[in-house]
Amino acid sequence: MVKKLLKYDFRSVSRLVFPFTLAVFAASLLGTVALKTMILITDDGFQPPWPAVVSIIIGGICVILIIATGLAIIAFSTGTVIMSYARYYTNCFTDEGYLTFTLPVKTSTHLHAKIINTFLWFLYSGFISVFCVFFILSFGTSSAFFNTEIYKTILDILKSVFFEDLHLYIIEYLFLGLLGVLYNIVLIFACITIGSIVAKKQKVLAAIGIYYGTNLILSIPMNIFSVFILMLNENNPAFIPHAYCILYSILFIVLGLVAYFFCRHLLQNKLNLA
Amino acid sequence: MTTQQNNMIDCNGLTKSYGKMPVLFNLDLHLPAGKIIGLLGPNGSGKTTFIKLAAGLLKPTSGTIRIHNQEIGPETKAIVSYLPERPYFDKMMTPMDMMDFFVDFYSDFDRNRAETMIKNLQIDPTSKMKHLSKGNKEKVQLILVMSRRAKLYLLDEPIAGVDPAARDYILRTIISNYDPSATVIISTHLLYDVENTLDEYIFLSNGKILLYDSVKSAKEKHGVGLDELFRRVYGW
Repeated sequence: MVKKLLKYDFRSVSRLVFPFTLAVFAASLLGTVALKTMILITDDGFQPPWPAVVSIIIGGICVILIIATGLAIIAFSTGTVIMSYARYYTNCFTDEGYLTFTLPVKTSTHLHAKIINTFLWFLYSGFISVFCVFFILSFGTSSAFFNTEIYKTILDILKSVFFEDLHLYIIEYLFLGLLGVLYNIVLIFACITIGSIVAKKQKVLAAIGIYYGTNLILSIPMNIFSVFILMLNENNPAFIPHAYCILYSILFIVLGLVAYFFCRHLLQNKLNLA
Repeated sequence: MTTQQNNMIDCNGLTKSYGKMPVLFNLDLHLPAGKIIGLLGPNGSGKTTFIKLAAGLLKPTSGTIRIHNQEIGPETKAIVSYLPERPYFDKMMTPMDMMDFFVDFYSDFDRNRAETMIKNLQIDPTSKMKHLSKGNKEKVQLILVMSRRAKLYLLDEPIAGVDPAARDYILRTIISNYDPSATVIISTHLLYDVENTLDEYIFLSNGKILLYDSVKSAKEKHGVGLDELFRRVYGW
Protein backbone atom coordinates (compact mmCIF):
# COMPACT_ATOMS: atom_id res chain seq x y z
CA MET A 1 0.00 0.00 0.00
CA VAL A 2 2.92 2.38 0.64
CA LYS A 3 3.84 2.10 -3.04
CA LYS A 4 0.31 2.98 -4.16
CA LEU A 5 0.09 5.92 -1.78
CA LEU A 6 3.54 7.08 -2.85
CA LYS A 7 2.48 6.96 -6.50
CA TYR A 8 -0.31 9.48 -5.91
CA ASP A 9 1.73 11.62 -3.51
CA PHE A 10 4.57 11.73 -6.02
CA ARG A 11 2.25 12.59 -8.91
CA SER A 12 0.58 15.35 -6.96
CA VAL A 13 3.88 17.07 -6.04
CA SER A 14 5.51 16.43 -9.43
CA ARG A 15 2.72 18.30 -11.24
CA LEU A 16 4.15 21.48 -9.73
CA VAL A 17 7.80 20.56 -9.22
CA PHE A 18 8.68 19.33 -12.73
CA PRO A 19 7.73 22.61 -14.50
CA PHE A 20 9.55 24.39 -11.68
CA THR A 21 12.64 22.24 -12.42
CA LEU A 22 12.58 23.27 -16.08
CA ALA A 23 12.34 26.90 -15.00
CA VAL A 24 15.34 26.58 -12.67
CA PHE A 25 17.35 24.90 -15.45
CA ALA A 26 16.52 27.82 -17.76
CA ALA A 27 17.49 30.27 -15.01
CA SER A 28 20.78 28.41 -14.47
CA LEU A 29 21.57 28.60 -18.17
CA LEU A 30 20.90 32.32 -18.11
CA GLY A 31 23.04 32.67 -14.97
CA THR A 32 25.86 30.74 -16.64
CA VAL A 33 25.81 33.08 -19.65
CA ALA A 34 25.67 36.09 -17.32
CA LEU A 35 28.62 34.85 -15.25
CA LYS A 36 30.67 34.04 -18.33
CA THR A 37 29.89 37.48 -19.81
CA MET A 38 30.81 39.24 -16.58
CA ILE A 39 34.13 37.42 -16.32
CA LEU A 40 34.84 38.26 -19.95
CA ILE A 41 34.11 41.99 -19.71
CA THR A 42 35.97 42.42 -16.41
CA ASP A 43 39.09 40.68 -17.74
CA ASP A 44 42.06 43.06 -17.90
CA GLY A 45 42.98 41.94 -21.41
CA PHE A 46 39.47 42.52 -22.80
CA GLN A 47 39.24 45.49 -25.19
CA PRO A 48 35.52 46.27 -25.69
CA PRO A 49 34.46 47.69 -29.07
CA TRP A 50 31.90 49.84 -27.19
CA PRO A 51 32.20 52.75 -24.71
CA ALA A 52 33.01 51.93 -21.05
CA VAL A 53 29.50 52.88 -19.91
CA VAL A 54 28.06 50.00 -21.97
CA SER A 55 30.35 47.56 -20.16
CA ILE A 56 29.12 48.93 -16.81
CA ILE A 57 25.49 48.47 -17.87
CA ILE A 58 26.17 44.93 -19.15
CA GLY A 59 28.06 44.13 -15.94
CA GLY A 60 25.14 45.45 -13.86
CA ILE A 61 22.63 43.34 -15.79
CA CYS A 62 24.88 40.28 -15.36
CA VAL A 63 25.10 40.82 -11.60
CA ILE A 64 21.31 41.11 -11.37
CA LEU A 65 20.90 37.94 -13.46
CA ILE A 66 23.40 36.01 -11.31
CA ILE A 67 21.63 37.12 -8.11
CA ALA A 68 18.27 36.23 -9.66
CA THR A 69 19.60 32.78 -10.60
CA GLY A 70 20.82 32.24 -7.04
CA LEU A 71 17.42 33.26 -5.69
CA ALA A 72 15.68 30.99 -8.22
CA ILE A 73 17.75 28.02 -7.04
CA ILE A 74 16.97 28.82 -3.39
CA ALA A 75 13.27 29.27 -4.22
CA PHE A 76 13.29 25.95 -6.08
CA SER A 77 14.90 23.97 -3.28
CA THR A 78 12.72 25.44 -0.52
CA GLY A 79 9.60 25.51 -2.72
CA THR A 80 9.90 21.81 -3.57
CA VAL A 81 10.11 20.81 0.07
CA ILE A 82 7.27 23.19 1.03
CA MET A 83 5.10 21.58 -1.68
CA SER A 84 5.69 18.16 -0.11
CA TYR A 85 4.64 19.51 3.29
CA ALA A 86 1.63 21.15 1.64
CA ARG A 87 0.72 17.74 0.18
CA TYR A 88 0.71 16.28 3.71
CA TYR A 89 -1.49 19.10 4.98
CA THR A 90 -4.03 19.14 2.14
CA ASN A 91 -4.22 15.38 1.80
CA CYS A 92 -4.75 14.79 5.52
CA PHE A 93 -6.39 17.88 7.03
CA THR A 94 -8.57 19.46 4.37
CA ASP A 95 -11.61 17.86 2.67
CA GLU A 96 -9.23 15.44 0.92
CA GLY A 97 -8.75 13.84 4.34
CA TYR A 98 -12.25 12.31 4.04
CA LEU A 99 -10.92 10.14 1.25
CA THR A 100 -7.43 9.64 2.66
CA PHE A 101 -8.56 8.31 6.01
CA THR A 102 -11.33 6.10 4.67
CA LEU A 103 -8.94 4.18 2.43
CA PRO A 104 -8.33 0.62 3.61
CA VAL A 105 -4.87 1.60 4.81
CA LYS A 106 -3.32 1.83 8.28
CA THR A 107 -2.63 5.32 9.62
CA SER A 108 1.05 4.45 10.01
CA THR A 109 1.19 3.49 6.31
CA HIS A 110 -0.16 6.93 5.36
CA LEU A 111 2.48 8.53 7.54
CA HIS A 112 5.29 6.40 6.10
CA ALA A 113 4.27 7.24 2.53
CA LYS A 114 4.20 10.95 3.30
CA ILE A 115 7.59 10.85 5.07
CA ILE A 116 9.21 8.93 2.19
CA ASN A 117 7.61 11.29 -0.37
CA THR A 118 8.91 14.41 1.38
CA PHE A 119 12.35 12.83 1.91
CA LEU A 120 12.64 11.91 -1.78
CA TRP A 121 11.60 15.40 -2.88
CA PHE A 122 14.14 16.86 -0.46
CA LEU A 123 16.88 14.73 -2.06
CA TYR A 124 15.62 15.67 -5.52
CA SER A 125 15.63 19.39 -4.77
CA GLY A 126 19.09 19.10 -3.19
CA PHE A 127 20.45 17.21 -6.18
CA ILE A 128 18.99 19.64 -8.75
CA SER A 129 20.17 22.68 -6.77
CA VAL A 130 23.73 21.34 -6.40
CA PHE A 131 23.73 20.36 -10.08
CA CYS A 132 22.66 23.88 -11.09
CA VAL A 133 25.30 25.52 -8.90
CA PHE A 134 28.06 23.27 -10.26
CA PHE A 135 26.79 23.79 -13.81
CA ILE A 136 27.00 27.57 -13.41
CA LEU A 137 30.44 27.39 -11.76
CA SER A 138 31.80 24.87 -14.29
CA PHE A 139 30.56 26.48 -17.47
CA GLY A 140 30.23 30.07 -16.31
CA THR A 141 33.86 30.37 -15.26
CA SER A 142 36.73 30.38 -17.72
CA SER A 143 37.95 26.91 -16.66
CA ALA A 144 36.28 23.93 -15.03
CA PHE A 145 35.32 24.79 -11.46
CA PHE A 146 37.15 21.78 -10.05
CA ASN A 147 40.45 23.12 -11.37
CA THR A 148 39.96 26.60 -9.97
CA GLU A 149 41.73 28.05 -6.97
CA ILE A 150 38.36 28.63 -5.26
CA TYR A 151 37.56 24.90 -5.26
CA LYS A 152 41.05 24.00 -4.01
CA THR A 153 40.81 26.62 -1.27
CA ILE A 154 37.43 25.30 -0.12
CA LEU A 155 38.90 21.80 -0.02
CA ASP A 156 41.91 23.02 1.96
CA ILE A 157 39.69 24.79 4.46
CA LEU A 158 37.57 21.64 4.87
CA LYS A 159 40.74 19.59 5.40
CA SER A 160 42.07 22.00 8.00
CA VAL A 161 38.73 22.03 9.82
CA PHE A 162 38.29 18.27 9.80
CA PHE A 163 41.99 17.34 10.11
CA GLU A 164 43.12 14.44 7.98
CA ASP A 165 40.08 12.11 8.23
CA LEU A 166 38.16 14.05 5.62
CA HIS A 167 36.44 11.04 4.04
CA LEU A 168 35.30 9.73 7.40
CA TYR A 169 33.92 13.15 8.30
CA ILE A 170 32.11 13.46 5.00
CA ILE A 171 30.43 10.06 5.53
CA GLU A 172 29.60 10.88 9.16
CA TYR A 173 28.16 14.29 8.39
CA LEU A 174 26.34 13.09 5.30
CA PHE A 175 24.66 10.48 7.49
CA LEU A 176 23.94 13.12 10.12
CA GLY A 177 22.55 15.44 7.45
CA LEU A 178 20.15 12.79 6.13
CA LEU A 179 19.14 11.91 9.68
CA GLY A 180 18.56 15.62 10.34
CA VAL A 181 16.37 15.88 7.25
CA LEU A 182 14.28 12.89 8.36
CA TYR A 183 14.02 14.28 11.88
CA ASN A 184 12.89 17.64 10.56
CA ILE A 185 10.31 16.07 8.26
CA VAL A 186 8.77 14.10 11.11
CA LEU A 187 8.92 17.10 13.45
CA ILE A 188 7.23 19.35 10.88
CA PHE A 189 4.57 16.68 10.24
CA ALA A 190 3.94 16.49 13.98
CA CYS A 191 3.66 20.31 14.16
CA ILE A 192 1.27 20.40 11.18
CA THR A 193 -0.81 17.67 12.83
CA ILE A 194 -0.94 19.48 16.19
CA GLY A 195 -1.73 22.80 14.48
CA SER A 196 -4.52 21.21 12.42
CA ILE A 197 -6.12 19.52 15.40
CA VAL A 198 -5.71 22.30 17.96
CA ALA A 199 -6.38 25.43 15.88
CA LYS A 200 -9.90 26.19 14.68
CA LYS A 201 -8.65 28.71 12.08
CA GLN A 202 -5.22 29.61 10.67
CA LYS A 203 -4.05 26.02 11.05
CA VAL A 204 -0.92 26.52 8.93
CA LEU A 205 0.08 29.58 10.94
CA ALA A 206 -0.46 27.60 14.14
CA ALA A 207 1.73 24.78 12.78
CA ILE A 208 4.54 27.26 11.94
CA GLY A 209 4.29 28.77 15.44
CA ILE A 210 4.39 25.34 17.06
CA TYR A 211 7.42 24.38 14.94
CA TYR A 212 9.42 27.45 15.93
CA GLY A 213 8.33 27.16 19.57
CA THR A 214 9.38 23.49 19.65
CA ASN A 215 12.74 24.26 18.05
CA LEU A 216 13.32 27.06 20.55
CA ILE A 217 12.64 24.74 23.46
CA LEU A 218 14.74 21.93 21.96
CA SER A 219 17.67 24.26 21.28
CA ILE A 220 18.22 24.68 25.05
CA PRO A 221 19.13 21.03 25.85
CA MET A 222 20.96 20.77 22.51
CA ASN A 223 23.19 23.74 23.41
CA ILE A 224 23.77 22.37 26.90
CA PHE A 225 24.85 19.02 25.40
CA SER A 226 27.15 20.83 22.96
CA VAL A 227 28.91 22.71 25.74
CA PHE A 228 29.14 19.49 27.69
CA ILE A 229 30.91 17.81 24.74
CA LEU A 230 33.37 20.67 24.42
CA MET A 231 34.21 20.40 28.11
CA LEU A 232 34.53 16.61 28.03
CA ASN A 233 36.88 16.63 25.04
CA GLU A 234 39.01 19.55 26.07
CA ASN A 235 42.15 17.41 25.91
CA ASN A 236 41.17 15.64 22.71
CA PRO A 237 39.99 18.32 20.25
CA ALA A 238 40.30 15.95 17.29
CA PHE A 239 37.38 13.93 18.66
CA ILE A 240 35.01 16.90 19.07
CA PRO A 241 33.49 16.75 15.52
CA HIS A 242 32.97 12.97 15.94
CA ALA A 243 31.36 13.52 19.34
CA TYR A 244 29.04 16.17 17.88
CA CYS A 245 28.06 13.79 15.14
CA ILE A 246 27.30 10.99 17.61
CA LEU A 247 25.40 13.31 19.96
CA TYR A 248 23.23 14.86 17.24
CA SER A 249 22.60 11.48 15.65
CA ILE A 250 21.26 10.19 18.98
CA LEU A 251 19.21 13.36 19.52
CA PHE A 252 17.73 13.23 16.01
CA ILE A 253 16.81 9.56 16.38
CA VAL A 254 15.26 9.95 19.85
CA LEU A 255 13.41 13.20 19.12
CA GLY A 256 12.37 11.95 15.67
CA LEU A 257 10.86 8.80 17.19
CA VAL A 258 9.03 10.84 19.83
CA ALA A 259 7.64 13.14 17.10
CA TYR A 260 6.69 10.15 14.92
CA PHE A 261 4.77 8.27 17.63
CA PHE A 262 3.09 11.47 18.82
CA CYS A 263 2.05 12.35 15.26
CA ARG A 264 0.73 8.83 14.65
CA HIS A 265 -1.19 8.86 17.94
CA LEU A 266 -2.84 12.17 17.03
CA LEU A 267 -3.78 10.96 13.54
CA GLN A 268 -5.22 7.71 14.90
CA ASN A 269 -7.09 9.09 17.89
CA LYS A 270 -7.60 12.84 17.74
CA LEU A 271 -8.25 13.63 14.11
CA ASN A 272 -11.57 15.37 13.54
CA LEU A 273 -11.98 16.73 10.03
CA ALA A 274 -14.18 19.82 9.94
CA MET B 1 -34.41 -10.07 15.62
CA THR B 2 -31.06 -10.51 13.89
CA THR B 3 -28.10 -12.13 15.56
CA GLN B 4 -24.91 -10.13 16.01
CA GLN B 5 -23.24 -12.12 13.18
CA ASN B 6 -25.90 -10.97 10.72
CA ASN B 7 -25.77 -7.32 11.72
CA MET B 8 -23.97 -4.78 9.62
CA ILE B 9 -23.40 -2.33 12.46
CA ASP B 10 -23.28 -3.07 16.18
CA CYS B 11 -22.98 -0.22 18.65
CA ASN B 12 -22.77 -0.85 22.37
CA GLY B 13 -22.77 2.10 24.75
CA LEU B 14 -21.33 4.23 21.94
CA THR B 15 -20.47 7.71 23.17
CA LYS B 16 -18.62 10.48 21.38
CA SER B 17 -17.82 13.76 23.07
CA TYR B 18 -16.01 16.84 21.82
CA GLY B 19 -14.41 18.17 24.96
CA LYS B 20 -17.00 17.73 27.69
CA MET B 21 -19.96 17.96 25.32
CA PRO B 22 -21.37 14.57 24.28
CA VAL B 23 -22.54 14.47 20.67
CA LEU B 24 -23.59 10.83 20.80
CA PHE B 25 -24.57 9.41 24.15
CA ASN B 26 -24.60 5.74 25.16
CA LEU B 27 -25.97 4.48 21.85
CA ASP B 28 -27.02 0.83 21.67
CA LEU B 29 -27.86 0.14 18.07
CA HIS B 30 -27.82 -2.97 15.90
CA LEU B 31 -28.47 -2.41 12.20
CA PRO B 32 -29.19 -5.37 9.94
CA ALA B 33 -27.77 -6.14 6.50
CA GLY B 34 -29.77 -5.62 3.32
CA LYS B 35 -31.69 -2.49 4.32
CA ILE B 36 -31.79 1.14 3.30
CA ILE B 37 -31.86 3.04 6.56
CA GLY B 38 -32.53 6.73 7.01
CA LEU B 39 -30.52 8.44 9.72
CA LEU B 40 -32.75 11.38 10.45
CA GLY B 41 -32.67 14.34 12.74
CA PRO B 42 -32.15 18.06 12.90
CA ASN B 43 -28.74 19.69 12.65
CA GLY B 44 -26.53 18.83 15.62
CA SER B 45 -28.39 15.61 16.44
CA GLY B 46 -25.27 13.48 15.85
CA LYS B 47 -25.93 12.08 12.36
CA THR B 48 -22.59 13.05 10.84
CA THR B 49 -20.70 12.02 13.97
CA PHE B 50 -22.30 8.57 13.83
CA ILE B 51 -21.38 8.20 10.17
CA LYS B 52 -17.82 9.40 10.79
CA LEU B 53 -17.46 6.85 13.59
CA ALA B 54 -18.69 4.06 11.31
CA ALA B 55 -16.36 5.24 8.52
CA GLY B 56 -13.39 5.22 10.88
CA LEU B 57 -12.80 8.96 10.74
CA LEU B 58 -13.43 9.36 14.48
CA LYS B 59 -12.68 7.24 17.54
CA PRO B 60 -15.41 6.68 20.15
CA THR B 61 -14.91 8.36 23.51
CA SER B 62 -16.36 5.22 25.10
CA GLY B 63 -18.29 2.16 24.03
CA THR B 64 -17.77 0.21 20.83
CA ILE B 65 -18.82 0.23 17.21
CA ARG B 66 -18.28 -2.80 14.99
CA ILE B 67 -18.88 -3.18 11.27
CA HIS B 68 -19.74 -6.65 9.98
CA ASN B 69 -18.59 -7.96 13.36
CA GLN B 70 -15.13 -6.42 12.99
CA GLU B 71 -13.44 -3.58 14.83
CA ILE B 72 -13.02 -0.41 12.78
CA GLY B 73 -9.80 -0.55 10.80
CA PRO B 74 -8.45 -1.13 7.29
CA GLU B 75 -10.55 -4.34 7.04
CA THR B 76 -13.84 -2.50 7.66
CA LYS B 77 -12.80 0.43 5.46
CA ALA B 78 -12.37 -2.07 2.63
CA ILE B 79 -16.08 -2.94 2.84
CA VAL B 80 -17.46 0.52 3.62
CA SER B 81 -18.19 3.02 0.88
CA TYR B 82 -18.43 6.51 2.34
CA LEU B 83 -19.87 9.65 0.77
CA PRO B 84 -19.06 12.76 2.80
CA GLU B 85 -21.03 16.00 2.70
CA ARG B 86 -18.38 17.73 0.62
CA PRO B 87 -16.25 16.80 -2.39
CA TYR B 88 -12.99 15.20 -1.29
CA PHE B 89 -11.10 15.27 -4.58
CA ASP B 90 -7.66 16.56 -5.34
CA LYS B 91 -8.76 19.46 -7.56
CA MET B 92 -6.06 18.71 -10.12
CA MET B 93 -7.27 15.16 -10.70
CA THR B 94 -9.75 14.16 -13.41
CA PRO B 95 -12.64 11.67 -13.09
CA MET B 96 -10.39 9.27 -15.02
CA ASP B 97 -7.61 9.71 -12.42
CA MET B 98 -10.14 9.18 -9.65
CA MET B 99 -11.29 5.92 -11.23
CA ASP B 100 -7.63 4.77 -11.42
CA PHE B 101 -7.31 5.74 -7.78
CA PHE B 102 -10.39 3.73 -6.76
CA VAL B 103 -9.19 0.73 -8.79
CA ASP B 104 -5.85 0.89 -6.96
CA PHE B 105 -7.32 1.04 -3.47
CA TYR B 106 -10.67 -0.74 -3.61
CA SER B 107 -10.80 -4.28 -4.92
CA ASP B 108 -14.62 -4.04 -5.07
CA PHE B 109 -14.65 -1.04 -7.44
CA ASP B 110 -16.51 -1.67 -10.71
CA ARG B 111 -14.76 0.57 -13.20
CA ASN B 112 -17.03 -0.28 -16.13
CA ARG B 113 -20.09 0.72 -14.16
CA ALA B 114 -18.49 4.03 -13.17
CA GLU B 115 -17.37 4.77 -16.74
CA THR B 116 -20.85 4.05 -18.08
CA MET B 117 -22.53 6.34 -15.56
CA ILE B 118 -20.06 9.16 -16.20
CA LYS B 119 -20.57 8.74 -19.94
CA ASN B 120 -24.38 8.75 -19.54
CA LEU B 121 -24.16 12.01 -17.65
CA GLN B 122 -21.99 13.48 -20.41
CA ILE B 123 -19.27 14.44 -17.95
CA ASP B 124 -15.84 14.79 -19.56
CA PRO B 125 -13.70 12.17 -17.80
CA THR B 126 -10.53 14.05 -18.73
CA SER B 127 -11.61 17.37 -17.28
CA LYS B 128 -9.92 18.42 -14.05
CA MET B 129 -12.16 18.45 -10.98
CA LYS B 130 -11.58 22.16 -10.51
CA HIS B 131 -13.24 22.76 -13.88
CA LEU B 132 -16.36 20.71 -13.12
CA SER B 133 -19.52 22.36 -11.80
CA LYS B 134 -20.53 21.78 -8.17
CA GLY B 135 -23.37 19.49 -9.26
CA ASN B 136 -21.12 17.43 -11.54
CA LYS B 137 -18.49 17.10 -8.81
CA GLU B 138 -21.15 15.71 -6.47
CA LYS B 139 -22.40 13.35 -9.15
CA VAL B 140 -18.89 12.05 -9.91
CA GLN B 141 -18.31 11.47 -6.21
CA LEU B 142 -21.62 9.61 -5.87
CA ILE B 143 -20.84 7.52 -8.95
CA LEU B 144 -17.46 6.52 -7.52
CA VAL B 145 -18.97 5.64 -4.15
CA MET B 146 -21.90 3.68 -5.62
CA SER B 147 -19.70 1.86 -8.14
CA ARG B 148 -18.13 -0.08 -5.32
CA ARG B 149 -19.59 -3.49 -4.45
CA ALA B 150 -19.42 -2.52 -0.78
CA LYS B 151 -21.22 -4.17 2.11
CA LEU B 152 -22.06 -0.88 3.77
CA TYR B 153 -22.72 2.50 2.13
CA LEU B 154 -22.57 5.54 4.37
CA LEU B 155 -24.10 8.51 2.59
CA ASP B 156 -23.90 11.76 4.52
CA GLU B 157 -26.44 14.28 3.22
CA PRO B 158 -26.24 13.05 -0.38
CA ILE B 159 -29.14 15.20 -1.56
CA ALA B 160 -28.53 18.38 0.42
CA GLY B 161 -27.75 21.44 -1.63
CA VAL B 162 -28.66 19.99 -5.04
CA ASP B 163 -31.60 20.82 -7.29
CA PRO B 164 -34.66 18.48 -7.43
CA ALA B 165 -33.59 16.95 -10.76
CA ALA B 166 -30.20 16.09 -9.32
CA ARG B 167 -31.92 14.68 -6.20
CA ASP B 168 -33.90 12.29 -8.36
CA TYR B 169 -30.75 11.25 -10.19
CA ILE B 170 -28.89 10.67 -6.92
CA LEU B 171 -31.67 8.60 -5.37
CA ARG B 172 -32.10 6.58 -8.57
CA THR B 173 -28.35 5.94 -8.63
CA ILE B 174 -28.39 4.75 -5.03
CA ILE B 175 -31.35 2.42 -5.50
CA SER B 176 -30.22 0.96 -8.79
CA ASN B 177 -26.60 0.40 -7.79
CA TYR B 178 -26.49 -1.00 -4.31
CA ASP B 179 -26.23 -4.72 -3.75
CA PRO B 180 -29.45 -5.98 -2.05
CA SER B 181 -27.35 -7.77 0.58
CA ALA B 182 -25.63 -4.51 1.48
CA THR B 183 -26.80 -1.88 3.94
CA VAL B 184 -27.24 1.73 2.92
CA ILE B 185 -27.36 4.43 5.58
CA ILE B 186 -28.56 7.79 4.32
CA SER B 187 -28.28 10.77 6.61
CA THR B 188 -30.61 13.62 5.71
CA HIS B 189 -33.16 16.07 6.97
CA LEU B 190 -34.94 16.16 3.57
CA LEU B 191 -37.37 13.40 4.43
CA TYR B 192 -39.95 14.03 1.79
CA ASP B 193 -37.50 13.12 -0.96
CA VAL B 194 -36.17 9.92 0.60
CA GLU B 195 -39.27 8.60 2.32
CA ASN B 196 -40.16 6.13 -0.42
CA THR B 197 -36.56 4.93 -0.69
CA LEU B 198 -36.12 3.87 2.94
CA ASP B 199 -36.83 0.51 4.58
CA GLU B 200 -36.07 1.70 8.10
CA TYR B 201 -35.49 4.98 9.89
CA ILE B 202 -33.68 6.22 12.95
CA PHE B 203 -34.68 9.50 14.59
CA LEU B 204 -31.76 11.05 16.43
CA SER B 205 -31.97 13.94 18.83
CA ASN B 206 -29.14 15.36 20.93
CA GLY B 207 -27.09 12.24 20.39
CA LYS B 208 -29.80 9.82 21.50
CA ILE B 209 -32.15 7.56 19.57
CA LEU B 210 -35.74 8.76 19.73
CA LEU B 211 -37.19 6.16 17.38
CA TYR B 212 -35.89 3.23 15.35
CA ASP B 213 -38.43 1.35 13.30
CA SER B 214 -39.38 0.24 9.81
CA VAL B 215 -41.03 2.80 7.55
CA LYS B 216 -43.91 0.41 6.96
CA SER B 217 -44.75 0.01 10.64
CA ALA B 218 -44.37 3.76 11.19
CA LYS B 219 -47.25 4.28 8.79
CA GLU B 220 -49.28 1.50 10.46
CA LYS B 221 -48.62 2.68 14.03
CA HIS B 222 -48.86 6.42 13.58
CA GLY B 223 -51.08 6.66 10.50
CA VAL B 224 -48.85 9.27 8.92
CA GLY B 225 -45.88 9.37 6.59
CA LEU B 226 -42.32 9.72 7.80
CA ASP B 227 -42.16 13.41 6.94
CA GLU B 228 -45.24 14.17 9.04
CA LEU B 229 -44.04 11.91 11.87
CA PHE B 230 -40.70 13.74 11.88
CA ARG B 231 -42.47 17.09 12.26
CA ARG B 232 -44.55 15.74 15.14
CA VAL B 233 -41.63 14.14 16.96
CA TYR B 234 -39.40 17.19 16.66
CA GLY B 235 -42.25 19.65 17.23
CA TRP B 236 -41.73 21.44 13.88
